Amino acid sequence: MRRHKKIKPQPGSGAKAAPAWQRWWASKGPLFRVGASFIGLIILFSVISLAPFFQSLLAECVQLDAKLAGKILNGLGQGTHSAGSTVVSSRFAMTVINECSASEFVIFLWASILAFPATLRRKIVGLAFGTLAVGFVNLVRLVTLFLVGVYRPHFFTPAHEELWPGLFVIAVIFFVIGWVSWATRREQSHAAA
Amino acid sequence: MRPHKTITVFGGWFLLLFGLSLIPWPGLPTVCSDYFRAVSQCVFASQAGQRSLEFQPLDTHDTRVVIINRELMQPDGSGPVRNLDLDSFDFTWRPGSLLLALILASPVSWPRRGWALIVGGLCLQVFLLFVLGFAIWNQSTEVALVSLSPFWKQAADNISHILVGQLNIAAPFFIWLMVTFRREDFQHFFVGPSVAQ
Repeated sequence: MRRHKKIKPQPGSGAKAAPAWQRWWASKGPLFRVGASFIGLIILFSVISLAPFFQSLLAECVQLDAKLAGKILNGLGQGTHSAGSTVVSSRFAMTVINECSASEFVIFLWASILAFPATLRRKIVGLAFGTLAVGFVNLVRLVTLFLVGVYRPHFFTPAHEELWPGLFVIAVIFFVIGWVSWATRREQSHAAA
Repeated sequence: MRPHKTITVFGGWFLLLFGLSLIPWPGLPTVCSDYFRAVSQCVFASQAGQRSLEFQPLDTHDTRVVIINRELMQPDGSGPVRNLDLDSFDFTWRPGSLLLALILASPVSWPRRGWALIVGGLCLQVFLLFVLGFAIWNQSTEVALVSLSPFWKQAADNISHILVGQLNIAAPFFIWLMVTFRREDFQHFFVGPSVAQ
């Protein structure tokens, strides 16, 4: 971590220091603008996510998730089949509901990427890979939760309500930080070239 | 420090600190829930006025907020009440621990981390109280303390849903960005020091 010395204007040098609030705003203003965009986008996407057409789309995604999870679990020898948004075996059954679609993480990811100043191309790449990554993590979550339900049923509730939400937060934050790092470095190298 | 190393160190510390917060430490849910009830009681419960609120422990995690309209209560203590059950441990600890881990892992000086913890912690507390206050206000319609048309009731339900949905990730992330960083930090962390320096 580099430390920077504060340079004070010398008396009689003719340089007049900007007022403290101007220096503070110059340092924080761009962040506030990004933050305001982030909050605005979170609100916008959250409102859209409550619309009936989005809820029915979400229900379709949840059914697809259940179907994929059922196929993977079947491949793992669990003897599962899916009916609608329910994954069933002879030992355990699990219904995936709309709240389990990880839509709040997708909203967070989209708002973060779109609010951060980067080129449109890099944003599109981030949105596409980010959405796929969230979908993949959610599939892993469903498969592991089902296996926990089969082999360690007493651990199902803590894994569902405590562990996986935390792991999801870690995954999404890592993705956003990684994307910001990638987008900023690529832009800098393009600017240098 | 090189940018990729800065980010790796940040990621490592964040993973460690937030990972530790996911462990169900003995006694932690009770402490957090007690804290939640004490602060909420202090901020929202009032002995005067039409509304009365009680914050009752359900178990180590959960709290029941009992919303009472005094004007509807009978002299024998019976009458309609509205119960709002919430996971007080998750409500306080999840966003708090995320903010704590993000700030402590940030590659800035310790005095800046300290200030960020104080200011960020206060901002998060205010936001949590706002979310709780909104939820209580929204549920107060059920005991005739607030009157809303069906459209506005639906809108209030949706706002409450959005606030609770983004409480655990967007709110601490936003507060972390705002209180910890300055514009020039992004240059240092993600790109590296410029040639002129």
